[in-house]
Formats: sequence, structure tokens, C-alpha cells
Amino acid sequence: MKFNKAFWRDVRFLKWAGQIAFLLFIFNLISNFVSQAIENLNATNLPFSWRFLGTTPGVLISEGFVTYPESGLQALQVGMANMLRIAISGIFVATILGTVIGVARLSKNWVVQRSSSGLVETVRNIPLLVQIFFWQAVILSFPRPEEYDRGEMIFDISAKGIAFPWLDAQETSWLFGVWFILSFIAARRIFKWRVSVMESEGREAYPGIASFITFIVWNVGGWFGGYKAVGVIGFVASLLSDGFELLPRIGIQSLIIFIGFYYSYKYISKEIKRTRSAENRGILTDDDIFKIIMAGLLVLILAIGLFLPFGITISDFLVGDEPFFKADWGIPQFLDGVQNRLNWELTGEPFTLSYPEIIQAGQSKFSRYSPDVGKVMSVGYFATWMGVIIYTSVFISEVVRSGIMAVAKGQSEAGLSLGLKRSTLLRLIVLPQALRIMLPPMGNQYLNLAKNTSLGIAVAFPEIVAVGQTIYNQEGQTVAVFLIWMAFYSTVSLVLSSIINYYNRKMKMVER
Amino acid sequence: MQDNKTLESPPEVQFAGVSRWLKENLFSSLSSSILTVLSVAAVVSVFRAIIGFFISPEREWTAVTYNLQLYMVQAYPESDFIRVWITVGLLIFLLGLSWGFNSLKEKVIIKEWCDGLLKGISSFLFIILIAPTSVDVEGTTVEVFSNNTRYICLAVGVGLILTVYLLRKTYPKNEIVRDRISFLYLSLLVGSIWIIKVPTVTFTSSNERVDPDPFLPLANTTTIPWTIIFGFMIFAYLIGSFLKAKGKDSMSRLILSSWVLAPLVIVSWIYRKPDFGMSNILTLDIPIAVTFSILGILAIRTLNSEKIVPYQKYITYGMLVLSIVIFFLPVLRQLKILFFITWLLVSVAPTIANSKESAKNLSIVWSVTVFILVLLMRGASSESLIVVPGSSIYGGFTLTWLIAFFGIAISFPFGVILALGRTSKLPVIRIICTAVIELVRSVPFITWLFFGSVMLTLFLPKGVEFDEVLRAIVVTAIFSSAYLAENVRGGLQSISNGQFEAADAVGLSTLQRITLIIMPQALRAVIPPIVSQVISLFKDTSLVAIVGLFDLLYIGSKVIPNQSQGANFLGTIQENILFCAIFYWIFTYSFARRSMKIEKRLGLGER
Amino acid sequence: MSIIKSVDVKKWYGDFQALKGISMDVAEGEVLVIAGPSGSGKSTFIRCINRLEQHQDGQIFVDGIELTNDLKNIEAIRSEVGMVFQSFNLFPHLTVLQNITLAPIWVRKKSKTEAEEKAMELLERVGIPEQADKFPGQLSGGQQQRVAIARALAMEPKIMLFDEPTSALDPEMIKEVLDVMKELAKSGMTMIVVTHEMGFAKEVADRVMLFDDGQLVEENTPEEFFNNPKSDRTKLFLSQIL
Repeated sequence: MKFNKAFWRDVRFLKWAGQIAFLLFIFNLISNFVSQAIENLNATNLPFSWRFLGTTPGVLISEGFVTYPESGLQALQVGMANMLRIAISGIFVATILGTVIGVARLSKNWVVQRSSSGLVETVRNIPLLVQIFFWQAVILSFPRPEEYDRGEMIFDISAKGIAFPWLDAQETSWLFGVWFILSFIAARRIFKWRVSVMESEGREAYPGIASFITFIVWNVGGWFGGYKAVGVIGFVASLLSDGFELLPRIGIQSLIIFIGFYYSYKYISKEIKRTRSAENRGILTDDDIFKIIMAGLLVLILAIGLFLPFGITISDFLVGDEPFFKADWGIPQFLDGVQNRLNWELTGEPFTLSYPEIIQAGQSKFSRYSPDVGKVMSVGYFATWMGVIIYTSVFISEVVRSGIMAVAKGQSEAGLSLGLKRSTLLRLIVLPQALRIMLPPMGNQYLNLAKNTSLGIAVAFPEIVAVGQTIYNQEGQTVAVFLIWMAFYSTVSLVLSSIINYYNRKMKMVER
Repeated sequence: MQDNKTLESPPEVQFAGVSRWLKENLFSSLSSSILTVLSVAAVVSVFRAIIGFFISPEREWTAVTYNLQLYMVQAYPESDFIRVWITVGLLIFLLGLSWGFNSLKEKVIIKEWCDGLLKGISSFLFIILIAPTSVDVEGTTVEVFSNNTRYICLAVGVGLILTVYLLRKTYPKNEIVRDRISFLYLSLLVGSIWIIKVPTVTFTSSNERVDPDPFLPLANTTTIPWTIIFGFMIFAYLIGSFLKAKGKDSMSRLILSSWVLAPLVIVSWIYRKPDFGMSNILTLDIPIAVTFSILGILAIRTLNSEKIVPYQKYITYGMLVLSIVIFFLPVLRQLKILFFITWLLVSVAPTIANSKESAKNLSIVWSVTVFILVLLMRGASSESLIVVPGSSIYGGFTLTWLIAFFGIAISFPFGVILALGRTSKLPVIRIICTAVIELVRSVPFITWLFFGSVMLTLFLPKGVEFDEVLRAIVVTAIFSSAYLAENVRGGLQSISNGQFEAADAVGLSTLQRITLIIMPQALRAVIPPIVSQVISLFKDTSLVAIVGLFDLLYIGSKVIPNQSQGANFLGTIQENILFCAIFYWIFTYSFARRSMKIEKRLGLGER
Repeated sequence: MSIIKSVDVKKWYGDFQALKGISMDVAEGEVLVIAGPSGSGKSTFIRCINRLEQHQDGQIFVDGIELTNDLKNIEAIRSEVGMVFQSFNLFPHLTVLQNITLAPIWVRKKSKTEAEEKAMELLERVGIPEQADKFPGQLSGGQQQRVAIARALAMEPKIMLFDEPTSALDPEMIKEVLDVMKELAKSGMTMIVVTHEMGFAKEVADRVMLFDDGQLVEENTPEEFFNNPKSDRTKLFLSQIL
């Protein structure tokens, strides 16, 4: 690397000078805005603080796992949980509905094709908010619950929502839940085993039936007591929790710093080794230099940060010493929770069926659904849920349709000439290939669905945006709530994208 | 000789064709037949329910028709309504002009047109056939569509079909220009608002509502303006075709600039009715405009003279630095903007204006631009004389358009810059741009609207007041630019490396390479995704209803169902939501169709 | 004095060494053909000459100017060197005429009329003046490559680099491009041509070089190169292509 006398014309210098200048410019801009904001906030007697997360907001949330939250943090958690309820169930239902509509649009039957296309064209061109208001109006047009008799029932729709029977979770439901997930893994193993038997010995080994039987037997056995075996996890959790509690704060800080240093050292030395091998003398590109600097910088920031107040709080939280904004959590507390739920000494049926009931609302003449039995889909939940699902499934149907059409032509002709029926062709040849093409845009639609749940605020559904607004109207911390929104939605997007990317990569590996 | 033979046998072929089509498409197999029966039953019952819902006497459609003015412009004062009509007239005039100028004068064979008409009329007949006779209203059955009316409609429909069929038989091969057909439909529409009578809410002189509502023509108070505007449009269309025929191709650039100017002129002068003093204009604006024009013309002349050529680069940088310095000084806003524009002129003048003729053209364009800009800024910075209850003169559909148009327009340059940054080879720039794009995109639009309405002012120095509509526009621009950046990035990545190398090899600088070679190709490649992005953002503007701006949806969902003075429309939420849905649907669907046609045309234009 | 001179030029792509010390020079007006198997580094080398690739060791001199990280040097060298690519790389959104006049107008600041006059002259020279207002997509491969040559010539370079100019063409179109290149050579342009067309080399080249595995294996006049190859690798190469 030689240096010119006229270094200001050197291309490398210009590149780095330009980037550093840009960085300084951005920092300057941001610090200007931030300092202006702090100044303005101080002038209004509401300086920026996170304290509201720990104080009781004194608000009532209309639905959620806690209706009278004891801290701002808990209120926001209720909002997040509500949002996730719609998002997760929405993704599943919208995928199924969207696939059906997408396949219907490709049907040879004129009536089916035309009506599904008509549906898609109608729903696509109306804004989602209008559709949510529409579903709200639909359910509000039902009679009020006062017009029905009080008492238990199986299924009911009224202007207060939809009520249906539901499985109530009991003490042992967590144990059974884990057992249920394990049953999928077991069934899959059996399936693979039977397929390998079929391939190696060349006889019919009934993989589908065998795995199905395994699934049923496993779960029935589990229901009547087999779930206790999961208690082993609880036992391990209790040991770990004791271990973590004994750990002093400095211990975990050192551990994290050590891991950080170890990885960055390995990375940097690998990069540098490339330039020192005997025969070659590889030269580092700009990107490489940048990555090395960043690796070192990040570890330094991590190390220093762990000793700053915020870092100390996090470390305390990890070892379970610090009540984090009135929420007594930490890794040991989490492990204790696991141990409590997955305790092999618990007994009883995992789930019981309960039916909804109309009762008197407090002391007034109005009726309402009892919150203790059955399950009620409130007006806001219904409107948001229906709106988001129908809207997203229409877009998913477009994705499915273009995916199938991208594969269809040559493959269909080949399959049909082999004598396959259209349905078999679709199932075994077209859909698996189309799935690979469809995955990224489908993931995009899921992200849109997750973000669209925020429109629940318009129909008084207490999801995270609505609850956040309530909190900042109460406490005045608009910027802090906004940052929490950003953090939450970014995390959800990240998790969703990672899942999609994982499946994307898995599909690609299967190819070669 | 052969034609005669094929013309002889149409009837049998048609019938056989129909039954064969039925077999293939509806009853090809057992499962398909079952599907057909089930879905036909489902579709018919859904349609019956919908039609019954629409025509049931329970519906108060007058809630919509009475409030149409509210929907369109919210609280714009009646006394200044002429301005609204001028705005609409101007836009439709430009529309007609562009239509006439750009029309390809496609011809349609009468046979095909008639086929299309037949399909439309038969769908109409289908609806008449399945409409329910009576509807359940609170326990009692009320007749809404008597069989007599049904028979009359059927007869009319059959009559129409016969006329069309006759037309088809007599002139099967003749052609009509497609535009004339559109004009026919439009004039029928305009004519119908004179003739069709619907129940309209009217008040007696003592402000009591007349009950039952008398039947008056459809757009009672606005028939005359609409007819005049329709006349304007035809007039503009004819002018456009005339100019195209004369071969004036520079007109296309003029029309394009009118489209760019029209919204700015509308917003700053027409709609706002600014309170400007002529004295201000004479003493301040005109001298400034004249000075800058002269400066610009001098710059154009001297920058290309022999002596200055080697210093061109330094003059350009110096101008940029000067503009940035002046930006931070407390001088008139007009001067700040004018300096930046002058810098733009100085940077492009050396290359564009290197012959006498092009220098002259550039000088003319420059002077005109300066004058227009100064006048626009005067209009925009003066107080508005319009008196409205509430804080903004924009409302209803006008507000939707305002936010969508300006939000998206402003986001274009930023989106392109972000996309270029995201694909840059310099790691710092790439990471920062990626972070910005991902952060903006990861959060739902509604949170950005909340940010705009409550938090934006926190970040600005004291005293900088932002109108709430302007805040919504800024936030829409931020949101849209992130999505636009992703789309443009796709286009950038589709350009082969060879283009970059060829541009380098031929000696273009980085800036020239980006503007002349890369961006034209990238943008052309991603027009479809950008168009669908624009359409979905148009739909998303409905979210401003949640932050309390008086847009179309807010009026429909909150304002009208709470009207109890004068005309009582309490509880008419269903009708209003349906109206909003249909209204949005018409616009969005037309956009989508129009853009598909334009995309096809652009593809044609290139080769 | 040589117009191009390279001294022990080395280049790595990560761990892989593409050029292992190339030293050569080219005299003004000389036509040099570089041949060799794929991956031997021929394209990499000539792309280093106009800085489309960056060499990491050694020196390159073009017309006395050294090719370093100095921006001024890079720009000066690029204005003296024109390049024709294997995949033509014409700008698809501009007409043929605009493709050729783009750089003279925007880089050399020539007027539009002047640039268009020159462009039409060049189009006549390469034999397709009637295609001036068509778009690249409407031309055949051979015509596109000839436009590419005209585009490079419009900047009045002293040196023309050709990176496998005929490898992407159908056989019937190779001749028309080679004819243009032959005329260019006869007019005295300094040319470095990476190609597999040995007929061209025999007819027009002043020198032929063989690259293999990142090294300059042999260089000689065409007669000597084809009839008396000295190195074994040259013999192997010749046996494979002739």
C-alpha cells in the first residue's frame, strides 16, 4: 500500500474520508434532533424517563390476560399478547383460506373461477380500515344480549361479540402441551423410519398410517397421565435456577465479555491469517477492514456497556437480583416458572370444556357474557380478526396463484402425459415446487398481517398500539412508548423473517 | 369466395358452441358439476342478500346523498365554492388535454363492442332476476321489488339486447374509435344526472325537514357545473388531438410541466385564497425574480465561455457551499430556495447549454421557472383567507388526495437516494441506509401517524409550527420512501454489472453514471411494483381517520352517524361505510386498470 | 517508448492469485493478441489496465502515467483507453446514436451537433449508418458489437482494449466484427485483443502472447508463435485449438 504525495486525490482516501464525513454528518444531525427534543421535553415538565414502566397506570384494559395491570410494563405486555393472538391465529387461517382462494382462481370451473376472482378484486381495492369498520358494523347489527335469555348456551352471536365453548387450561395443561408437541416429533420419526424400511426392504410399510397411529396413541396415553414424564424438564429447570441464583453479577458479566472476546478474536485472526499464508498474499478489501474494525469495536462497546448503569441492570436481571420495573423476572425466576408449570407432581385433566353463559352485567340492567366460562370474541377482536384475515388471504391467494402459474406449464404437460390426474398432479408435482417460489412473498404478507393488526385501535381492540396510546395519554411519555413500539415490531419482523428464511434455506438444500 | 361460406353457418355454430362451453367449463366431471351447483347456489343467495340489503326501506341512503359535499370537501365555505369548481375544472381540463394528446385513437370493431355490451346487459338482467321481492324488516315482511317492476325492467333489458343484437348484425365489421365510445358513456352519465330522480332531503323555509323526501334530480345543486366541466373536457380533448396532429411534440413536455405545476398552483393560490398584498409582490417578489433571472442568464452565458471552462467545477462547488451557508442564515425563505435552484442551474448549464440555441432555450426556461417559483412561494406563505371551523381548510376526499399526492411525490427523490445508498459499495453508507429503511418499514403506518401527530414537533426548534395536515404528509413521505427504496433496489440489482463497467470505461463520472445510465434502466424495470406501491399507499391514507384528520373515512364513520341537527342521521354507519367502500373501490380499480394499460404502452414505446 | 508497460503485476481474488507477475510492454500502434485457456488471467489483466480491476502489486504505466490510487491519474488513463466488452454492454434505453454521443457530450462537453456528426462518421466507418435511430435490442449481435466499437472510438482513445469481442456472437456475425477490427488495426490504432480467433491473430497481430495460469508463458511474432512454439504449454495450447 503506497501513499501518494497528493493524498487528497487518492481514491482510497476519498472513500474513507467521504464515509467518515457522512458518519459525522449523520451523528451531528441525530444529536441535534435529540438535544432539541430533550430541551423541548424539559420545558414541558415531562422529561424523558422510563419510570412509567414501573408505576401503576390506573387504566382498565377491556380484554387480555390481565385487565387491571399493575405496572405500565404489564399493560404493554397485555397489548403485545393481544396483538400476537390475532397475528398468530391470523397467519394460520389466512394461509389456508388464501391457498383455497388461489387454487379456486385457477379452477377450470367457470363459476368457481369467476366468483373467486370477483372476491379477490373486490377485497383488494378497498382499504383495510374500511373493511374493519364494515365487520364491526356487521357484528353490531346483531341483537344485543339483553334480548336473549340469560343462562348457559352452546354458541351465540350478539352485538357484544361471538361466544363459543372453549377448552379451559388446568394445572397440568402445560405438561400436556409439551407432550403434544413431542408427539409431532415422534410421529415424524416413525414416518421416516417406515419410509426407510419401505425403501430398503421394498415392501409396503404403511408410513402414513403408522405415524398417525403413533400420534393418537401418544396423545391418548399422555392425556391420562403420560404427561408426567415431561416433569423431567421441570426438575432440570429447578437445578439450573438454583445455579443461576448463586451466580454473582460479576460472574455473568465476565462470562458474556469472555464469550464476546473469544468470538471476535477468532474472527479477526481468521481474517488476518488470510494475508499471511506462505504462497499468497491476499489483500484485504475495504469491506474486510471495515468488518474487522466493527468486530473489535462491538466487543469493546459490549465490555464497557456491561459496566455502565444500564448494563449493570441487565446483568442483575439475568441473575435474578433486580426487579425489573415491578416485574420480578430474571433467568432464575423464569426457570422457576418453568419448574412450577412442568412439575411432575401435578395431577388432573389437562383441559376441560366450558360453555359460555349470559349473565347480568354488574348491577345494571344490561347483560354480558360471563368472563369465566367459554370464550368470547369481542367486537373489536372480531372486526380486526376478520378484516385482517380476509384482506391478507386475498393477497396470499395472489401469491399462491402466481407461484402455481410459474411452475404449471411444462410440468403440467409432463405430468399429464404420464397419465396423472389433475389433483395428483397438483399435490405431488406442482405444489411442492410452487412452494419454494411462494415462500418469500408469503413471508412478506405475514409481515404485513402482523403490522395490520395495529388497526385494531380503530375498533377499540386493546392491542399494543392502542394500549401504548392509552399509556402515553396518561403518563405523557410519547417518545418512550414509540421506542417500545419500534422495538416490539422490529423483533416480531425479525423473528418472522428468520423463520421464513430458515424454511427457505431448507427448501433450497433439499434441491442438491 | 371463402368468406361467403363461413358467413353462412353462424347460427348452428353458435348453439353448438354454447352447449360445448357449458359442458367444458361447468360440468366436465362429477365433482365439477357438484361444485357448479353448490357455488351457483351460494353466489345467488349472497347476491340476493346483498341486493335485499341495498334496497331495503331500512336503509337511509339520503345520509350519503345529502352529505356528498361534506364527503368531498368537508367544511369549505359555500361562498368560496367557485374555487373548488375551478380546481376540478382545471384538473379535468388537463386530463382531457393529455387524453387527446396521448390517445392512440384505437379502433374497436362494432362486433366486439356489442359483445361487451351484451355481457353487461345480461349481468344487469341477472341481477334483476335474482333480486328478492320482499325483505324482512324487524319481523314484518315488506315488499321492496314488486313483480311488476321486475317485468318492466326485464322487458327494457330484452329490448336493449335486441337493439344491440341488431346493431351487431347490421354493422359487424365497422369500427369506432374507442374514445368516442367513452364519450358516449360519459355523456349518458352527465345526462342521467339531469333526468334521474331520487329522494332528496329538503328543508322548508322554516328549516323543517320535508317528509317524505321529494324526488329531485340526482346531483341537484351541481348539475350545471358538472355539465360545463364535461364540455370543457371534450373541448380539451379536441385541442389535444389537434396539437398532436399538428406534430408539435414539444407540447408533450409542456403538458407534463403543467401537470407538475397544476397541483402546486392549486394548493398555493386557488384553494387557499391567500391574503397577499400587491405591494408585497411589486416591491419584493418581482425585483427578486428579475434579479435571479438575470443572474441565471449571465451564468449560462459565461459558464460556457472559453476562460471560465476550467473553473466550472469550482464554481459549482462554490455555489453549493454558498447555498448551504445562506440556508442557515436568517434571510427570506424565498432567497434560500432560489439559491439552491441557482446551484442546480450552474451544475447543469455547462453540459446542457453548449450551443447558442440551447443556451437561449435554457435562459427562457430559467426565467419562467424563477417567476413561477417566486409567485408560488408568495401564495404559499401568505395567510389563507378561507374561514373554516376547525384547523384545516382541507377535508374529505380533497384531503385524501392532498396527502396521497404530495406524500408520494415528495418520497420519490428520497426513496431513490435511499436505494442508491443501500446498494452502495461503501459499508458505512450501506449500513446506515439499510438501518433506516428497515426501521421505517418494520413499524406499522399508524404508529408513524401517531409519531407525526404528537412527536414530530418535539424534534423541531421552538416556534416552528406544523399544520397537522402537513405533518401527515411528512410522515407519509417518510413511510413511502422506505418502501419505494426497496422497490428501486430491486431494479438496481437487476442491472447487469456490464452496464456499470461500460459507463466507467467510457469515462462517465459516478454521478453521471447514476443519472444517465443506471437510474433510467432501474426505474423502467420496476414501474409495475412502484405503481402497486402507490395504489396501496393511496389506500393507506384512510388511516389518517384514526389520528382525527377529517378525511373521507372519518366523515363516513364518525361525523355523519353523529349528525343530529337539521337532518338526523344518527346510526347510519352501515350506509356510510358501504359508500366509502364503493367509492374507494371505484378509484383504486380504475387506477389499477389504467396503469396496466400504461405499462403495456411503455413497453411498446421502447422498442 | 512503450505506450503500455507493466512491471511484475500481481492480483489476488481473496485467496486465489489471478495474476502472478506479468511484465510486458506494448509499443504505440502495435496490435497485440493475448491468447490462452479460460481462467488464465487474460481478461483480468487487460481490465487492470483501465482500472476496472485493481492490481495489488507491481506497476502499470499507460502513456507514461502510472496507474495508482490517484484519482487524477485514473481519470487521465481512462480517457486514453477505450474498451469493447464480450457482452457489448450497450445502454438499452438509448438509441444507437445516443449511445455513441453520450460520453462526448457529457464528459468531453462537446455540442450535440458536433458529437452527432462524429457519431455518424464512426457509424459509417463500422458500416451501419442506417441503424442510427434504432435501439440496441433491435440490432443483431454483430451490429451491436460494431456499435460498441464506435462508442469506444467516439472518445478518441489512443489505445483500444478488446475483451473477447466475438465470443458471444453467432458464427456468421464474427466476420463483420473482425473486419472492423482489421481496418482499425490498419489505421494505426494501438490494440490489445483477448480472443480465441487465431485467424485474426495470424493476419493482423504484430505480437501474440500466451497466458496460462496467471503467467505470461510466451510472446512472439505470429509466425514464430504458431510455427515454432518454444514452451510446452504453448504447444499443448496450439494442439488443442488448431
